[in-house]
Amino acid sequence: MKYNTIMAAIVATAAFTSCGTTDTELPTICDSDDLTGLPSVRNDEIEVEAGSTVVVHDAFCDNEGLGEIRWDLHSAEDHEHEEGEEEEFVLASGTDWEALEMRSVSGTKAEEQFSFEVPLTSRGIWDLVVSVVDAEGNAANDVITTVHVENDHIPEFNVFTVDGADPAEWEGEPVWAPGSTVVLSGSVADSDGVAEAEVLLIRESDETVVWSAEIEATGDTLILFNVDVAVPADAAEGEYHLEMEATDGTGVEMHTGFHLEVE
Amino acid sequence: MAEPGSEWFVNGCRPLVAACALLVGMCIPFGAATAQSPTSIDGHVFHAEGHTPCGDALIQAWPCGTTFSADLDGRFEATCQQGIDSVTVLAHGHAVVTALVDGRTHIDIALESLAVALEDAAVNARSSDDLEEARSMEEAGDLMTTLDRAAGIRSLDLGAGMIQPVLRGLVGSRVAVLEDGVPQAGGRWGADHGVLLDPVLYDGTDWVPGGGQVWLSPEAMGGGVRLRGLGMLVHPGSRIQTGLGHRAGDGRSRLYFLHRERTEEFQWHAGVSLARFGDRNVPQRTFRYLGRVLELEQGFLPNTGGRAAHGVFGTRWNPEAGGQVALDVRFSDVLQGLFPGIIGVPSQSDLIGDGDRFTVELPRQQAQRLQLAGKWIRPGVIDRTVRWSLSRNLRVESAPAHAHGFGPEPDSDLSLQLEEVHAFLEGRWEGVHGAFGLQLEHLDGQTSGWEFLLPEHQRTRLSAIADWKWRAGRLGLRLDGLKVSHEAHVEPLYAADGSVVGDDVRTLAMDRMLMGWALNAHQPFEAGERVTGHWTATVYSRVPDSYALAANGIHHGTFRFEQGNADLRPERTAEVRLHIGSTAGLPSRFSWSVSGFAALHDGFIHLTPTAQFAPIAHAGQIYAFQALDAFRTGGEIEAEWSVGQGSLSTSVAMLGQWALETGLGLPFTAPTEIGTVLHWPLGQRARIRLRHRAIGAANLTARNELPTPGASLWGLECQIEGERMTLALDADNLLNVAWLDHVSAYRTLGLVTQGRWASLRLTFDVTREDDHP
Repeated sequence: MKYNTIMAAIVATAAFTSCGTTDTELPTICDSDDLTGLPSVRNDEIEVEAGSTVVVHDAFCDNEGLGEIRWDLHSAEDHEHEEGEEEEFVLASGTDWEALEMRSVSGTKAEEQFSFEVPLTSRGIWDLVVSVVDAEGNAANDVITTVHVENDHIPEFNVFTVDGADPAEWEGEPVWAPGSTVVLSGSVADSDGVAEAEVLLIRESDETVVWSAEIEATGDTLILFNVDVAVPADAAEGEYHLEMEATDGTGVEMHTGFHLEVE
Repeated sequence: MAEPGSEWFVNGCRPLVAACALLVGMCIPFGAATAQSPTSIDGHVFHAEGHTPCGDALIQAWPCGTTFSADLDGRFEATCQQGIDSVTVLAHGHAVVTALVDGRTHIDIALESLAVALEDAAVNARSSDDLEEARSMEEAGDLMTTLDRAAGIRSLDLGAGMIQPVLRGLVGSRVAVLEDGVPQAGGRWGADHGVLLDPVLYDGTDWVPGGGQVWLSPEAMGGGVRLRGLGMLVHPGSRIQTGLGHRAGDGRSRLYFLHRERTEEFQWHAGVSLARFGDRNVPQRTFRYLGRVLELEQGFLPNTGGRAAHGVFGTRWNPEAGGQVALDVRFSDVLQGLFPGIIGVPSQSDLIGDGDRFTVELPRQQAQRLQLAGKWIRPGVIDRTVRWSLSRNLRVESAPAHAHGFGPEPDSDLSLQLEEVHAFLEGRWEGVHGAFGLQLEHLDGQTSGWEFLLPEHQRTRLSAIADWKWRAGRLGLRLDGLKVSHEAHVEPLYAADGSVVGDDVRTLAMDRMLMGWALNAHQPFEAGERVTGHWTATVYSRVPDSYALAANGIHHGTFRFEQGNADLRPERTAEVRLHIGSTAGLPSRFSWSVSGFAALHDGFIHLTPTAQFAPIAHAGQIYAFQALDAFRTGGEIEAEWSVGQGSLSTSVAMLGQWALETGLGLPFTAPTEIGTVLHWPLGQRARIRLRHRAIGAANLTARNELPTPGASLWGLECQIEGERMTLALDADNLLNVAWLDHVSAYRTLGLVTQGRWASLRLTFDVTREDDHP
């Protein structure tokens, strides 16, 4: 039994070895002392104009010391950030751009600004995700806001119905059958007049255009259209993209669309 | 939970209900027809000295002559259709014993050691491969279930094809997986890199807890999982083991076949196992990732299906002179779809699936392995053994081409390829006083693909091992010399407009010589007639793996940016282990055992979050390998009561792991788990088992690791055994509980573990013996 005694002594020694302690409190995005009037990531939504420069201002706090802040701006297409959030049918158009910036900070409070250029060719909804970590590595929960980009520069498509259904009511990706005809109803508008407009069905696996049709464009600022999209009977099953393209009276081009599945 | 009337309920439960009814129907006649003559007996074989289990005994039942083997606990079951009147028990180093059955159905047999008198010391003839700490594992139809049902072990997986053992909280390259003594290579550092094996193509599996085991390789800090190589049949003849099974839930189907054919001196064997599985069923509809809420509309984790193939072909040659020669070729090929959230941010359209649960799309991982291994044993006053292995391990991760940060899009799907060539050589000389050996190991790792994670690396190890038999125990020493090196890796640094503005230095070249060692003392003891045990005290060091030294990139399998540290030095550990329990083989309706350990680590190398974010989008925080002192302790308590014809067994597994500088837990500290099994025989050939797992809340967490709530899970097993056939129905998570597994790779994504599943397995084991002259 003497071995057991030795064993017990070793275990007890190890167990009572003093442990250190550490800061486990998470950093936060806190109230700003510097009232700049600039938008904050704590806003529900930030509305911006394409072609503008946007500055977001926030304050960051930690009980012992801040470490780093990250701003991550990306398209909001195809995901939601809050459970049960109303998912809109968003026709993201123009350039799919994003911005990412990391900045080291110190002290228990830091007021920081993040600026980004909104491309003239973008329209739709983007997510701004702000993350902060303190000097010990404690990471706060991400804080997210929506950046709504308005655009008067490029043509704008609106889809009213697809085969009689409002796309805002869709649950998941639409599924079209080979050989079927789908009626697409919508509008295309531009303050400089719409010079050209076209609808295309593109197979994503090899970017092949399997069907296309031109929308009659007369240079009007608003064109309403009804297009019969004919899915070829021999269309391979898989992922497709319904592409809508337009050029305005000054030659500015844009394209938008949505994903669908042929099955 | 699946609602009555739902598709799963109707399609999944109907065949299960039918199978249950069939099994119950088959069980009842067997139960009602309990025979007087013992056509089937069970019992234990143990060493007369010390009353420890004799795990390598062979039991020949008479008059049918069929041979059975005892498991590592010394337990055996023997069946003869015409009844059993006696059994003969043989074990290496022990006198042969023949015992009359006399109508009993349970018989315990003590074996006397053949002691060799040498210099006034009587030394038991026991191989250095026989580790008293080893514990057998009961095969449960698949590797993940087999691991999860052993107290102290958990599995970590990314799907049914990629599974890693977690031994007492340690995982990856800290756990050695040994095939007949040869450590398996193949990116073992990655928690997403499953081991490539199927236990049915081996002669059994056991696990050895704890580090400092001198023969299990220096990597075995958490212990080792040992797979016994296919042995020679006891007599000339043949043996066929085959089986097939299907699992409702993820639609996993599996088929295996293993054939052995022996003449007097020669045996050949060949086996293959094939499995196919669909997307994993989960009782969950939404999850949150990087602040986004995503839906799982179908109740499956999309793209987690796949397939697995394993095979073996080999020979055994045992001539009268010249020693025994074993030669095996093993291969594995596993294709595993990866859940879209593993690589990049998943989009909702990725999670819809294509309607075919078995299709594997991008991202995916394919792992292949080809091994040629051999062993030569020359028995004598000094047994000489040479083991060798040469293997090629290939792991290919494919993902939709995407660029992290600025720069051009890749032009292929190949995100990461890791090709490793591994060579192992061991020479061992073993006599009655102990054993001495040399191990030489070399690993050459080549990496490619557009997602840099670690550079090309090499690792060469030479170890000298001595293992003395000391009193009834052992004293082991291992000295390691390692040469570790890796290449530099530099990529272009891009600006936002795509222009190259400099160099992105991901790693610098390194070439280091490092030393390792292990000293291990092990001693069995008796505390009265009814309690025996053993203790182990060990100090050892472990050289960091190439990944901890050189990684610097997004590790898709763990969903984060991981960074190595070329300056890390070997971690050092002092560890004690104790096992006590009731003496095996004594007539008793109650048996118990307690195993515990405590380990103090000087510079425990593990990933810790830093105060920096990854320099690329969607990669989160940087996790860097740091060496922090740590203390780990825990153990397992197991008890079994005989209740009437059946038994009630319970096990409690506890674990505590702390980083001493911070007082926080270490990552993957599994919560306390209590497993209870009610085992009830239905006649001679059937049995049912009602299982329950109570998993405590995981509140001992590392920095930024979320606590995990507890769970209560029920399972049911029904099994019918014939002389050559076994039919088993096994259902798990009966109530379809949505629970998070704290040690699962999917826990980070907030994804629950697999929901209810039920498997039906049919296996055959047919032995034919040639007529003896």
